Amino acid sequence: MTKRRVNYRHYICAAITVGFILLTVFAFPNALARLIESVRDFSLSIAYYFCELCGIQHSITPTVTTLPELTFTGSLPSTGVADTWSGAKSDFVEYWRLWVNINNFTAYNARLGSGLYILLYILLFALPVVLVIVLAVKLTTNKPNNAYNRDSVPLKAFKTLTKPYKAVKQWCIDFYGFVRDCKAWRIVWLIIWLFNFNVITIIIEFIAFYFYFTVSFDVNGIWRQIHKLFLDLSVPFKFIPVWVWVIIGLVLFDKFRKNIALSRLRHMELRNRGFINARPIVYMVCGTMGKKKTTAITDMALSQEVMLRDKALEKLLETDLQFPYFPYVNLENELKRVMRFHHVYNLATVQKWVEKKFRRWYYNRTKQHIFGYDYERYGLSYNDELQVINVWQAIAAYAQLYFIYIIKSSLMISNYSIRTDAILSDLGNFPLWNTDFFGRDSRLIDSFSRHSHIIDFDALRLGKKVIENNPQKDFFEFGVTVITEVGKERGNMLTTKARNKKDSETANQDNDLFNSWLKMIRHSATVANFPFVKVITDEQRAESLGADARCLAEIVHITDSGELKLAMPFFSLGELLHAFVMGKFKSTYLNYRFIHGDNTLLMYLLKSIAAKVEHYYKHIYNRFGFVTLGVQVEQGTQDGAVENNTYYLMSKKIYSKRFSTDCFSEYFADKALRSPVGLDDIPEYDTEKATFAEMQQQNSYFIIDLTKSEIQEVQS
Amino acid sequence: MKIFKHIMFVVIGLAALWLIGYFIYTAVQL
Repeated sequence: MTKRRVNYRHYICAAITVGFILLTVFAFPNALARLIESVRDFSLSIAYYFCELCGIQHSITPTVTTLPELTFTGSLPSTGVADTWSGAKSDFVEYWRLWVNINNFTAYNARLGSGLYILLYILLFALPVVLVIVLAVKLTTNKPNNAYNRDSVPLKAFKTLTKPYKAVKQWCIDFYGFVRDCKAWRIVWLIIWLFNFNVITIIIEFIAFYFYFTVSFDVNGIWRQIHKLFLDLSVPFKFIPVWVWVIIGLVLFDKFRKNIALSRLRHMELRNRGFINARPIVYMVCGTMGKKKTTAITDMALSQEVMLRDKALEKLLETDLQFPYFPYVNLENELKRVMRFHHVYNLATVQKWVEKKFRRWYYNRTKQHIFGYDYERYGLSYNDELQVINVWQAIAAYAQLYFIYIIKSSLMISNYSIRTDAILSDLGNFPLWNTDFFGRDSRLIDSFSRHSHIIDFDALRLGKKVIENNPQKDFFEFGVTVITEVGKERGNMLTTKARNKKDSETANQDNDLFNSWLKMIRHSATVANFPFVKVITDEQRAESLGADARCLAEIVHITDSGELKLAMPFFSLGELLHAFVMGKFKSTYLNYRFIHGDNTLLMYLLKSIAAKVEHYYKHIYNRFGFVTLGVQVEQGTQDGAVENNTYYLMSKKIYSKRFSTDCFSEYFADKALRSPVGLDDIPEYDTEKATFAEMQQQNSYFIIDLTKSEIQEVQS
Repeated sequence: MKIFKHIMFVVIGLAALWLIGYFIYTAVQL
């Protein structure tokens, strides 16, 4: 029989637990006394509550309003807070009298001054050290060398000395991971410390007073509870040292400002969705190069995908309430089963499947044939005051909406890749989507990411297809279609006129009826009176797209792409620290790299500090940074009024491996690979004035024309 | 200009800390 080995970290956790229990016994002896008292108060309050409520004669005296008496140490801690309301009132007056007292004010500043004196004292010691570092940097960077990547002797010594530190750090990280994974130890420690710090007592006392107050309305007793609360809370406040409180305060403050940043980003996302919702089914984003138009349409497509799912969910709930006693879970399970077998794979097949189910029920009316719905009891129709809806209409709508809602792959179809990271949580009942863009762990995104579907333009053509027997040519029904550089794909009248013929044997922009598809797109995508479709495109100039297609759309011009801003407040100290450290480091480091090939201890340490500062700064900006785009919306006909608006691009949402800004770079990379020469091989001009031979090397139309006209002139 | 804005915020933050400190100090003195 093999013996199961116990992880040695469990022994460490057990030792820590014993330590905590010893602390409980020796440092918090009154915690148990307070807990016993709180249970007594609670029991008496409950008894008092029920006796009073039911009008039973009793002689119960609730003890929740009395001061703690039971101790194991002989005395209770003092808090300085009055135990009566009148005492508290006089204390309040006394507090403000002291607050405006000049002696108190001077004493505070003197105390602060003495604290600052210590700080100055530390600075006094630190200044020579800084001076030595500056001098050392100056001296060491003065001697050039080419000892590539060779560690200096002090650096080697430092690395050897800090080797154990690395091991200890790694062990601590591992141990932290172990504790995080081992829930049992965490719960035990949490209970011990909740007990030590009287938190359990406070909760029980609160409930006890709640029951007592609801029948007694003893308003005077409230202050006594606050006094008892201070008494109980004084234990952690006295036990935890000031420096730990400072750290706790800083951590909480950091959490607070990050929460503000997250709510600001989510608010911006909601404003973006409002902007997208106000756009028609087809729209085009225009702007010159570098105005972030592909970034903007990607961002809009991501939000639109979430909105389509949200809309499907909203409509599902709406349909659900039309027949509130219908067992939708049976319908969902059957639908999931036929989807698994690929009998149902689009909205049309969902409709067919429901019709088949209806026929089966129509000829054999039993509960089983209508998903177990008790139609005799709950009825088959619902009047919404506009029309009478039959249950089978509701079933068809629900099934189609559910189909849209539970498709696990992306709802985006695009001519470049877009990463989407919505997570479907499913316990086997009704699945829920987690579509938060701002809470994703960047280390895990590859594990749950999906990418947009490859667009097949044949599916967007009602006329001639590039591949006539293309099996995908009829697949498109609903979703978010994203086309970047749409003008280059479709062209306009000027660009297509020369090369296209309507009666051509092969597909072209004039005979593929793409524009007719655009005009009819909502018909295939409408479920429960809502079109689950959007076509988002971009182009540098609106006129690059033919007028027939352009006039269907709205044009969103990006007029201004602002600078990166931070949604997190209270980061000014971080900004100043980063500016100072990086400002000093960059010049020193570049100078060092210019002169040195080796690695010295000083530069190793300076670089470590600079990297830490830079990483922190980058992390904050990548999580909470945003750019405001100034946009102008106009009709595709380009003859109406222009409406100014703003759109927000949040770094965490749009730059987290979402898409490649150089999405067509693979084409150019292939082209460049075919080239036998690079930039360095291209001839340079000899002087500041180009010679005629140099001009001829340009292969310029202009120079060719000039040369031709010169030859003609000579000949004539 | 941005630096000045950040310096101003840091100064305001320090002043707020000083004031909070005074409230706590007075409470302790009571």
